[in-house]
Parts: sequence; C-alpha cells; structure tokens
Amino acid sequence: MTNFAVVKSRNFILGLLLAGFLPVYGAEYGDSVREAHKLREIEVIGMKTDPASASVDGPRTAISGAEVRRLGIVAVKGVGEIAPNIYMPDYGSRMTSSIYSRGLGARMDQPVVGLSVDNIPYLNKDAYDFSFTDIERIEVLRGARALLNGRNTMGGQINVYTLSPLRTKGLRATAEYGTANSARVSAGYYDFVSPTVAMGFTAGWGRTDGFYTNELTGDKTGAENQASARWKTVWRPNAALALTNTAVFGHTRQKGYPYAPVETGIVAYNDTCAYRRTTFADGITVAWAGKRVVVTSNTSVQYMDARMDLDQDFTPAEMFTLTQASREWTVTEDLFTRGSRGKYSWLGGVFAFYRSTDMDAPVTFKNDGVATLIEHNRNQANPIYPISWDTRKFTLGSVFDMSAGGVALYHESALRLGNWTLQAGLRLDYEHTTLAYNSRCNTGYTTWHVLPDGSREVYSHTPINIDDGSGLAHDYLELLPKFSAQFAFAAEHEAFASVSRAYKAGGYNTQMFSDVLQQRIMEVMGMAQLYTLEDIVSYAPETSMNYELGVRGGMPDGRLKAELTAFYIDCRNQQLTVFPPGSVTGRIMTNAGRTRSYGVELTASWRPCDNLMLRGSYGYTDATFRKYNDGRTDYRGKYVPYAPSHTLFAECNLNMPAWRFLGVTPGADVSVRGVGRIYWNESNTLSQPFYAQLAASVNFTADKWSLRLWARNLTGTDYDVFYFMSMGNGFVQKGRPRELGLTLRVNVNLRR
Amino acid sequence: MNKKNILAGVFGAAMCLALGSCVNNNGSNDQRLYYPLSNCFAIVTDMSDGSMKAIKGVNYNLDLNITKSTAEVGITGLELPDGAKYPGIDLSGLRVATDKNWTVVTAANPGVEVAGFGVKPTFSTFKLQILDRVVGQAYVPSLAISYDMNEHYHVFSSLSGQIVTGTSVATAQNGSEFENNSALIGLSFDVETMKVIIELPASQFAAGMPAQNIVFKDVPFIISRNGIANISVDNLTPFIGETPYPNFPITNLQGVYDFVGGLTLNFTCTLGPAPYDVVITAKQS
Repeated sequence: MTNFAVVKSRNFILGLLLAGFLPVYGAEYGDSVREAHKLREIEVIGMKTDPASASVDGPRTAISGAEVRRLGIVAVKGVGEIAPNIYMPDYGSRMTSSIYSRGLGARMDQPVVGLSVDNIPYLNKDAYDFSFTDIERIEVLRGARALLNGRNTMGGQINVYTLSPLRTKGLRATAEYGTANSARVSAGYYDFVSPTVAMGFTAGWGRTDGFYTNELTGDKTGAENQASARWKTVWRPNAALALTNTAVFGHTRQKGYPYAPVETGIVAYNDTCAYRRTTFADGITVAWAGKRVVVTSNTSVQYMDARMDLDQDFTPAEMFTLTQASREWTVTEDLFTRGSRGKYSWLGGVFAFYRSTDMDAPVTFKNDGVATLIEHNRNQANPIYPISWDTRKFTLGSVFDMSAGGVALYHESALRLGNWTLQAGLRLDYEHTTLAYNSRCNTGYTTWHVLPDGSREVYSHTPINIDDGSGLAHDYLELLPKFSAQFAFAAEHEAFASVSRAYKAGGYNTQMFSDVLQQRIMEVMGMAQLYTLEDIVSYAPETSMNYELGVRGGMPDGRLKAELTAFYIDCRNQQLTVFPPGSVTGRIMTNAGRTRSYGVELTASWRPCDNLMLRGSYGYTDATFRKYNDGRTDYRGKYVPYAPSHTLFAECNLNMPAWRFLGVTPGADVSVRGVGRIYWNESNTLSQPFYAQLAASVNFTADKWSLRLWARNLTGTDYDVFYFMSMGNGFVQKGRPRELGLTLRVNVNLRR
Repeated sequence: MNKKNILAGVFGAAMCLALGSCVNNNGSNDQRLYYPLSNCFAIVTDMSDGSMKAIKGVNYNLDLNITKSTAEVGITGLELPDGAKYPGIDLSGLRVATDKNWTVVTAANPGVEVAGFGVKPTFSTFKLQILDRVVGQAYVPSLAISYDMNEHYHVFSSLSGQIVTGTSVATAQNGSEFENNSALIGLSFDVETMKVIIELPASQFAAGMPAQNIVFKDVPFIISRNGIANISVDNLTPFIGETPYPNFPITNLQGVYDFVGGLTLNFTCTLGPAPYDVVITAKQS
C-alpha cells in the first residue's frame, strides 16, 4: 500500500512552505496515481479523507492534470467511463448533468454523485457542468461516500482541484480550435506576492456553433458562448496555519436542445430553446495544525442565476413553451478535525448547509396547442356544443420559493492491527426542506350551440381564474454507518471490504405544477383530475445499503497497478423519472420501490517502459427493479433505465524522446470509450446498444509550449445519447459526431 | 382524486353541517354530541287517504347523550298539510342504540314540548338513523327520519344531498365488462319539483374513455312514504362541465334509492357508435 504522509505536526506545514512547486506541466503522463500521491504529500490540508491514511479507502480513480489535457477533458462529463461505472451523458444543455453510477442516478433534481471543486461542495447539479481551466487533478471516489460527504453521494464523490499557486508559477495559456467552429482560450498567471502569499488568476472563454442544425430555422443548436474567471489565494502566515481562498465566476449562454423525433431523427422546432447561467462561488479553507490534531474549516458561498427556455413540444408547431428562471444562494460549512495516536486515528466533524431558491416557471400554451390539444380534442367529443378559447395564447404560471437546510455530525475511527486496518464511522444527517408555491391562470372559453341550420349561438362563457398557493415542509433524519476493513497481504497489495449506508435527498416535483394546472382547467371543462398536487408534489429520500469487496496491487516499481472491485447495492425507494398518464409534458420524480444492483469494476495501468503507458478501466452493472408497480404495469425484473450495463475505457500513450528534434518531442495517444446497453424506459422496450468511440491525438512538446492535434469519435460512431417522451411522442438526441481540432499550450515562467 | 369538490350539486343542495361535540355540556359530566341537521326535506303522508305533501327547509337538532344513551331532538320548519305550522318542537325521552355503523334514535311515544303553540302534537314510532361519514375532507352524514304525528300523518325526512359509494360495471355490446370499484355518486333531491340531480364524478365506462365528471340533470323520481325513491327516465342528455353532450345520450335510466339501504341504478350510455349498459350499486357506508 502506498504510504501517504499524514499531517501530524507543525513541521509538516513548514515543510510544505519550503517544498517549492512541482513542475506539474512537465509530468506529461506519468503514473497518474503516483503523481496524485506527490500532490497529496504537499497539500493534504483541506482534504477530508479517511483517518487511516491520507488517501481514501475503497475504489477510486485519479486523473492527473496531464491526463485531463491529454484526453481533452474540458468538463466534468469527460470523466465518465474513465472511472468505471460512471456515466455522464452529454445532452440538452449545461443544466442537464445527469450522473449514473452503478445503476443509481436520476435525470432530474438530486444527483447521485457529489461534486466538490477546490473544497467547494456544489449541491445543485445544475451547476455541475462547467468548463475546465488549469485543472491539477480529479479524483473520482467510487461507491457510496455518505459518511464523509453526506447527502447525494450514493454513487460516489468527484473532487476537482485546480492548480495551486504554491506549485505553479508563471504564465499559462491555452488556445484551442476544432470542429463546429469550437474555440477555447484561457490564460492564467501564478506567482508569490509575498513570502507567505501566493495567488493565481485565471480567465477563460469558449464558443461553439454546436454540432446540430435546426432544420426548420437553420440555426445551429447546441451553440454556446461561455466565460469563466478564477482567483485563488494561498496564505501561510505561520507554520501552523494555512488559508486558501478560491473565488470563481462563470457565465454561459447556450442555444438549442438538439432533440429530434425518433421517427425522423431531424431536429426541427420553431420556438427558442436556450440556457443562460451565471454562477459565482467563493470558498475558503482554513487549516490549523496542532501537536496531535489538525482542524480544518471549509466555508463556501455560492450564487447561481439561471434561465432555461424550451420549446417543450420540440416540433414545428406552436404548441407550448416552458421557461424556468431561478436564483439560488447556497452556504456551506464543514468543520472537521483529525488526529492520531499510535495505531489509532480518527476524523470527526460537523457539516451544515442552507440553500434558498426562487423559481419562476411559466408554461405558455400557444395557438397550435390551444387548437390541437384543447379545442380539437374537446370539440371532437361534442361537436354540437363546441368551444372556442378566449385567446390564442395563455400562460400557466408557477412561482416557487424553496429552501433546504441541514446539519450533520460525523465521526470515523481507524485502528491498525498488524496488516489489518479497521475503520468504523457514523454520520447523522438532518435536513429540513420547504416549498411555497403559487400557481395561477387567467383565461376562459366560450361554448357555442350549433343549431340545426348550421348557425351557432353562444351557449355560455366560462372564465377560468385559478390562483392556488400553499406551502409544504418536510424533515428528514438519516443515520449513515460505515464499516470497512483493509488487509495488506503483501507489499503493494491489499484487499478491502466495506459496508455502508447512503441516501439521496428527497425533494419536490416543481415540473409537475403546470400539469396539475392543466388538469384544473380540464376539470372546469368536465374532465376528471388524474392526480392532485398532494399525489405527486414531493418525493422521499432514496436510501441504499452498499457492499464492496476488492483487491488492489501493483509491482514494487509502480509500473503495473490494478484494482478489482465487486459491489452489491440494495436500494430502497429509488427515485425515478417517470411520465405521468396522459399526454402531458411534465416529468415527475417518484419513489420506485426497490432495486438491486451488482457488478464489478476493473482498473489497470501499465508502463512497460518509461515512454509507453497503457491504461484501462471496465465497469459492469446489473441493476434491476425488485419491486416497482406504477399502478398500471409491474416492472419487477426490468433493468433500471438510463444506467448503462457496461462502461469501457482504454488508452495507449506513447512518448517518443528518441525522435526529439529542435527541442520538440513528439508523442501519440489513442483511447477508446465505450458505454451501453442503456435502456430508455422501465419496460425495456427501447435501448441504445453498446457503442464505442475512438479518440486519437498527436502531440509535440517543447520546453515552454506544446501542440496537440486531436480527434474525437474518429470513426464517426452514430448513437443516441438521450431519449425522452413529450406529449406521448419519443425524442432522442444524437451523440456528438467526429471532431477534429488542435490545442496549443504555453507555459512561461516570467519571473527571473 | 378529489371527487368531493366535484359534487357541487350535492353540496349545494345539502345543508351546511357542522358536527358539534359538546363535552361536559351544562356543567354535567355527560358526554354529548350535537348534530345540527338543517335543510332537510320532509314527505308528509296523510294516512287516511295516502296523499303526500313535500316540504323543504325542515331542520332537526339532534342532541345525543352518549353517557346515558338518550337523545333529544328539536324540529323546526315542519308544516303539515292541514296548515299546522310548528315554530319549534322538542322531543325528549328518546333512546340511542347502534345498528352496524348507524346510530339509531327511537321512541314509541317521545315527550313533546312546543313553544308558542297551544295544542301539542303527538308523536309516535319516532326513528332517526344517522351514519357519521367523512367524504373527502367534508363531513357528510347519511340520515333517515320517520315518525307519525297526531296519529294522522306519517313523516319521512332526510337530507336533500346524498352521497353513496360502490361499483359501476359497464358492459359493452360484445359482452366485455369495465368495472370501477371506486364509483362515487351524488344525488340531490328536490321534493318541490320531484327531480333529482345525479352526479357521477370521474366516471369511466370503457377502458379508453377519459374519466369525466358526468351529471344527469332533472331526473324525475317518486318517493314512498317510507323513504324509497324510484328514479326513472326514458332518455336524457348528460352534462359534462356544465355543457350538454347530446351525442352521448343516456337511455332507459332506472334506479331505486333507499336512504338507508343504498342505490341501484341502471342505464344505457351511448359513446360514439357503441352503447354500454351500466349498472351501479352503491351504499351509504
């Protein structure tokens, strides 16, 4: 087992100050795990890890900054498949950050994998998808991580770390251009401003035309402009104290959700589909090292202002549109201590958060929607007394004021007994959620009487004035134990096992409010309400018991490493996105009953020689419903939709110093990513078979610059990345086509 | 599904009921329940010739002494065919029992007090049956009252609005059946016009048919002296959402409503080209 330094004394922090910086850029592809270890030795402060060591037990995937650049990972979604059984489909917009892990996951609302960037925990997965600049490393902690990371980490935790100004110095710039007129530019400057303070400033901009065309309007769907900036400050006033502050700003504007009807495969709709998001986050980490204990505080404040506009029918007709505008504030605080005495080490802390969201989500019925969905259907049933709507456009208004707050206490102890390391921990999570809503609609219709001679007279006029408002509140209390054991049966070899409980928070079906309003209108017209708000407005937490067994090992020289993990998950009240009965557009989150998931994960890396690296990962998941009956169909035994059965990643990276010419070293990289089969519905009648995408690049590396020529989906694999239903019709989004491009990086140390 | 909100006719015709629970009333330790049963109708039958008169707006105030199993009943708004109009009648000495879920208040000859009236009427064979019931989130009891007055008149009283729940079975021409085990039916009796409004919220008679709130308006009925209403009409146009649907005609509607025993209703509903024979059986409890 690799030995990690644990912060034990003030001398360690002094060593940190004197350590200088690692030439991260120069470590082009080295062993990503070894590189991560070096980084951890220097900046373990602020990281919350299991007490037995500075690393984490359980399966994990580490991706170094060099690998991020080499594999062209520009956002969190690029991590999928590299970490086995982690799948993050790229569809819709940056708002849609559905993550599936080991059969767990959902398209809406609560995530199943947590995300932290520079110790800032992002609680809303709408903010998960952002562009990367200057990433130092990414950790994917697979499996349940509830003990230390709390809610919404049933399937794992992703930690992203950006470059530290302690280890990076000078100017770094990147310019990239590729298919679809895609361009990215970023620049960052890092330096010490005083003997104890180092700062890094980074800014980035990117754009793309998108890969799809709206055949009706000729517009490029998926087009985007985005910008970001980051200011990172590290201050070490003395040997015992360390502070790191990261302030990050992001703005993105996207056009288009490239959804096409299954029958035609052609994107063609008339109304605007767009997404705009502005985010700001500031996180400060303060760490104090005492004689036997280290105390760390991670505090963050986050703000997000977002607006989504959707042509909700995705057809050329003027049916109806949805707007979802929200503003959200989040505050988090994580205060924990860790220490050790002899063979015993421990970690304990308290976490608290508060999140407040205001949302305005009107649905507007337009002319064709009024004519087709309302007038035509109604008048077909009663042609002698037909209706005509007062206006050709009306709005179903929904306004929400939501809040969620919680506090958690956690503790984990570890005991080393010879080759054994035993760990046990407990977390108590309390959460209080509220929802205040107001739904309103002001419209009406006239009922006519068709006379025998064909003329018609007014029979009645019916105004529809709905103004419903109320509030809801829920409390949740979860106890989350974990037991794990590690056994080092040989040098560089260990086996591990764990049992833990995790949960995904409950929430509210805000998307269904417009549908309920539609039903209230239909009720005025004489149709029975299929469901009320009370039936569908909230969903309960999803809980799981997780069992893992694994073994990891490698050669003493570190050239060969492998990890094999088997898992079993018993999930209760699994949250699933389903479509309610009738031709409505909303989706509801519902607790499905019970599912079980089992599988294996294999990761391996091999460096047969210094210039050649082979790396791969494979994940298999069998996730099926043990109990799920939606009142119409029994789905017991069916595969859980949207979660893939297999994930695959393989990479071959070659550095060719022997071919160095004029100070430039060539290299090449080939990788394959595969995923599938993915079922699109609970009945398993629709699916995307397994598919693979080939990526390749040729790079030229010099002392201060590098140029990379790359290709993604080189063979042009055709696949569907997403499927959904709207108004009883099926829609898909095609996967990204072949992409070609080049990336130029410059790294200059300006200080002499 | 909030069917209660759809039964506008029933609740519109029904009284506003408020079940009052008066514990330790008047300083005693007895437990009492108080039922203000207002806006009842009364069918007054002249026992000598069988002629009947219907009266609306009769009110009964039932005061149950749970501890002693006794009751008192106050009656206002009652008018007899001979013109006698009693401002207020108080009956006492009534015994309380239970029969299944019904509370039964009886007296062979209850004590009678009449305010502001010179001659006291006589009451005999008094029987009040009440079923406590919550439908949706509203208190909607079932009620049937019968008594003889002055050894000359037989009175049957109940609430204008009635709700029953049960099963509807719709049989298509090919013999296939569609069953709804959560049928809810509201009836609103108007004893002046002798017409009843029948409401069928969230009704379905075929698998593909969307559930609709159907209303049969102004269906003629006759009622016996003992509170059995016979409902019958050859054809009618149903209403859905306050709009007539002449293309879904209802024919051969026959029904019997017992204010204690429940409803049996048969009719033929024509949806498009195909008729469906519908049978509804429902009870108060």
